[in-house]
Amino acid sequence: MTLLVVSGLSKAFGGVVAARDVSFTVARGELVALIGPNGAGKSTTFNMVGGQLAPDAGSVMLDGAPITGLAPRAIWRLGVGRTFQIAQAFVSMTAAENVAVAVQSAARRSFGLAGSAQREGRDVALVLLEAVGLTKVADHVVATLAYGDIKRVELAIALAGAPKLLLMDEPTAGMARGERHALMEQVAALARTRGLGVLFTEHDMDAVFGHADRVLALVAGKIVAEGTPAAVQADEAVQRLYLGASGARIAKAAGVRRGAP
Amino acid sequence: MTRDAENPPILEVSGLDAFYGPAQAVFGVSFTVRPGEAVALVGRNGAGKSTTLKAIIGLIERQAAGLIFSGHDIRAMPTHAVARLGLGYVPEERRIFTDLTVAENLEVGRLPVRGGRDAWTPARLYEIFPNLAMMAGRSAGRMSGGEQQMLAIARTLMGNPDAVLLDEPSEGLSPLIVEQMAVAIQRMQQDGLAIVLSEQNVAFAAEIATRAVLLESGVVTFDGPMADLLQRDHDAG
Amino acid sequence: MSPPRNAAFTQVHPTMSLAFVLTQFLNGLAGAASLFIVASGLTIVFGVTRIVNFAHGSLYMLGAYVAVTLMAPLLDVSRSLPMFLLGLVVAALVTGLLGVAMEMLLLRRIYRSPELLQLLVTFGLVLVVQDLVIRVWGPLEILGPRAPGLKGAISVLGTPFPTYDLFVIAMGLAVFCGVWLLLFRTRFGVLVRAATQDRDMVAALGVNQARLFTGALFLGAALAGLGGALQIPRAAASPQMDIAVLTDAFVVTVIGGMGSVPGAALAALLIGQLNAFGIVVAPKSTLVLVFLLMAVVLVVRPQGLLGRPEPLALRVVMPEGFIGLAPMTARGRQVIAGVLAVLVALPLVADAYTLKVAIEVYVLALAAFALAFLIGNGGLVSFGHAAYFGIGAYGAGLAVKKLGLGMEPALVLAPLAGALAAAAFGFFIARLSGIYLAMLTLAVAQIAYAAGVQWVDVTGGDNGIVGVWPARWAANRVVYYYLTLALSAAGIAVLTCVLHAPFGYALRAARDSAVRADAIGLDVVALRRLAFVVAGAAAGLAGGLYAFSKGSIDPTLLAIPQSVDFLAMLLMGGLQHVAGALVGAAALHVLRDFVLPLTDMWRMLLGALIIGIVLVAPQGIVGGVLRWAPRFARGGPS
Repeated sequence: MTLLVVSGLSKAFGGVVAARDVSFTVARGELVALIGPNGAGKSTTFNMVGGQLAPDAGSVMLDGAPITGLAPRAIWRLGVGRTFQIAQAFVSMTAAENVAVAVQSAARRSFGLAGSAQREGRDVALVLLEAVGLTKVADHVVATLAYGDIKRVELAIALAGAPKLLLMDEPTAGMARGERHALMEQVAALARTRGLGVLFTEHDMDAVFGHADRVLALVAGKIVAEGTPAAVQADEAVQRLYLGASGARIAKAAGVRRGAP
Repeated sequence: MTRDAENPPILEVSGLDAFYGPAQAVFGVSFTVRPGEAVALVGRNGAGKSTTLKAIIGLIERQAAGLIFSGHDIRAMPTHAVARLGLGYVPEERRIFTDLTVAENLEVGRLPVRGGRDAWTPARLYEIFPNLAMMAGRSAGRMSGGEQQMLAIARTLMGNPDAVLLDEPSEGLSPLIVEQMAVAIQRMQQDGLAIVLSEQNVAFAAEIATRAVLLESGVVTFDGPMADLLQRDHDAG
Repeated sequence: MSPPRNAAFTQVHPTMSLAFVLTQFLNGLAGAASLFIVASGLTIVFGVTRIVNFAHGSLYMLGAYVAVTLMAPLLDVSRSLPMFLLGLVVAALVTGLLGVAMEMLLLRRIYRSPELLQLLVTFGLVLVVQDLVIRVWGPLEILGPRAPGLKGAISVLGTPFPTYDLFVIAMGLAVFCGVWLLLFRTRFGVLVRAATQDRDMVAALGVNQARLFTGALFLGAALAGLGGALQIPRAAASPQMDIAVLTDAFVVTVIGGMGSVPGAALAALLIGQLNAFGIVVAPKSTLVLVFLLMAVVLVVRPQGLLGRPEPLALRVVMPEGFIGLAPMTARGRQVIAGVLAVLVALPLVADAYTLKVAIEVYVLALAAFALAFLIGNGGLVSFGHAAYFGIGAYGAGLAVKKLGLGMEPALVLAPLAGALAAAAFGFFIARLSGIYLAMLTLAVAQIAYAAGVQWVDVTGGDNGIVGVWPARWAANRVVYYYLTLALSAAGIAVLTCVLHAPFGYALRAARDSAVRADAIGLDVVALRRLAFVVAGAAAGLAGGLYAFSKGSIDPTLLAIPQSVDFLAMLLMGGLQHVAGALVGAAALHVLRDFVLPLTDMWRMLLGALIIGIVLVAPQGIVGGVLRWAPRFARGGPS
């Protein structure tokens, strides 16, 4: 069932066109990867879906309702959680407090002048931290955590609004190799069990071709290929414009590993 | 070995630790580079490649048992002094001055020439990077990623360096541009420059560098001929 | 070109003749030229060093004093225009060298410090220079000589216009062209512009940053000095001119865009004309019009007319402010109970004077705690906290004197007045962040101060309001002591609850990462607006208590030095700790009380203290105690 429908999104910065006529869909429970060289318009497309940027043209529909050009906070309330390329967490707070703040926001309690922010929503926060494997560090201040763990905290924060769609900008960037695979497995499991749609950008070909259900290849602001990982990886234009010989080899290897029992 | 004795290292890094604020990102990294040699720092995103380069040039806090460039101990030197000794740095994400014109970007990089080599001039650089010549008076912010990368390299060459630290020069560029980049870097190398390349794209790194230093989680886990590393990877996977 | 006079129009608006319009236009240009010369220096220094140099006003003042001192001997040699020009140039160069000294001795040490500490250091310098100027040149105004050859007026369509103002216009144009050529046609200018964008990269290309910064400071300071020197034939040099010009220069750079010289020129032109023609619309206060212009510009373009938006801070750094808020421990409760017990018992042993000082400390501690709420928890660096404190005091005073109310309702109105002012100002301020926010807080506080001084009918002007006495039952000093202690402690307790409540956490979340906060549904601007209201109410209550303790109110309660006092308290106590503001308020006030009778150089001492703390012990008293006595950490009051 289609969750996100993006049609005809365009955006130019000055004279530079960052995205032109970008259209795609994401279904519930589906992991869709957005790949392409730096500057191809991945982050621009992402930010237009998440509300950080307003598109020049085109529309974004979530569950049949238009969210084009809404503020990020409004889009979040409609069911879109997101993580950032450089992890954005509340560094002065513990992991549990980070998630609790999001839980309080979801409950529209953030303007509450009384009560304990440490206790409110803590139970929900602990459940979410468990889901991303951070129970042990729930009461550690985020600034003291390893970068990979901060990325997981971000994921738990994004889940606190009970989203229908998860936007993840380079979810595994800066993580160790072993962690990357584990994180993507977790995300895939969350998507299946909760019926979440996941749209993610990624440079790591292992993550893309090992975990995505569908891949969109973006070059110079345009989608040049779309389809299953195998189809996109075999696509002549993608090989020429993005993957190159070494990238194709890695992509193929990742696909093979995935196909193997 | 006799060749090594005739050609002593221009850059010697030993036991380098680098920090982002309180967090240590690089642990005891050591390697050397000789004039005309290209060494690739390879490893995953976040393995400490960029951090190592930034630490050598002095853009982030560092400690080292030894950090010698052209016979000078550069451990306590500020960034600009290291650059003036002839160590060029091309940062990741290029960091060109988008408010300035192409010609002005080159002017910022201009330093007096050392030694007997011909000084780099905008005219000479425009020969290698003909795209830049056409847009000399244009604002650098309105260039494509590939053009900006060429400008970043040209800007560093304006300082007439003896060695260049190149941070992820192929990142985000289309294969066609990457090929041009490889040619330009090989030309610099033939000119006698020492090159330290940080690169995730191992295929690109192998095209340029003969030696590889593999970084994993801020630690060197391999230092040897590029061919050996490729062979090892091949055997492993 | 000139159209025939519209007789009918002239009859209806006798002042709007063509001659009037033209002279006002020229007046506006002259004002714009003065503004631009000062503001361009400020904006260039900011662009390169990323430091908003509060001491820019001090350099302007020094330029004026140097010019006043130099002109007499120079004009004795020959009473001619060239000598006058020589005086201007020398004054600019001398000021430029003072700027170089400032950079090499002080600024160089703080380039990597947090923004707030940088601002405080340059403000410390403002205080030091004020006392130095008084020491060297005396407290009285010094009138400068008129410029030979530029006296008198020329006729503009029959209306006289001062020749010297034409000269100022020409100087403004000359400075604009000169600065433009310097920035766009010299290597130094290319480096300055490159450094404005990415100074680390400039260093990596072999450019000595230190020298570049020194050069930028020389240029900026020389422009400030030239601006000051140009003023002396029009207005006397006085020890108060630094703050006045600083506010003007801030407004110009904020409207024009920080770091943009063309922006400064455009904003100066706009403000010059607004001032010139604004007197037709609002004869008494063109300040309000300028504020409205600033508000409109900042609402439409928060980065200023020609400024570039600050790149989103997408990094994981620990902000300057409260780190973690642990729940209250048993030990912490014991400490607080112990301190409160001592304070309750104090009247048993203390004399009347000690009680007076204690009352002041409680009031200041409440106001400082409100500021810590904004800065420490919200990351909202307010340089205008005195506005809410002072408006609270005026609210209480006016309630008593104009509305004939008693102390009790007045003490209810005081926090309401503070909250209302904070809501009005915060509406605009909260849209900004970082350095722009800090500058706007200072600018709007100056509006409140100007209203306090100029709106004589209501505020009593410089004389203020007298006879604001407590109710009969509270007139006894011991009773008022307990009243102040109770209300201050209650205020601090309420603020502490808010810190730990979801709102306090949401506000701190927005401080840690505004992008992340926005992405989890938090309305960052609304959170910050409410933060200003909460802090404004607490500061307003403090102001009301202060008014009744003194019996009188005057505009100094609204002035910048009062705001700086609050900041100094936070700095002294420690910015990273909730208790810092309280400890700092007590320490600074007691210190002042002890030192003030001994010296007339309190400002210099305070300035040196601020600079010293930033350079030597930026963690403040509480931070220091926690560091050296880690056992305290577990029992500390946060």
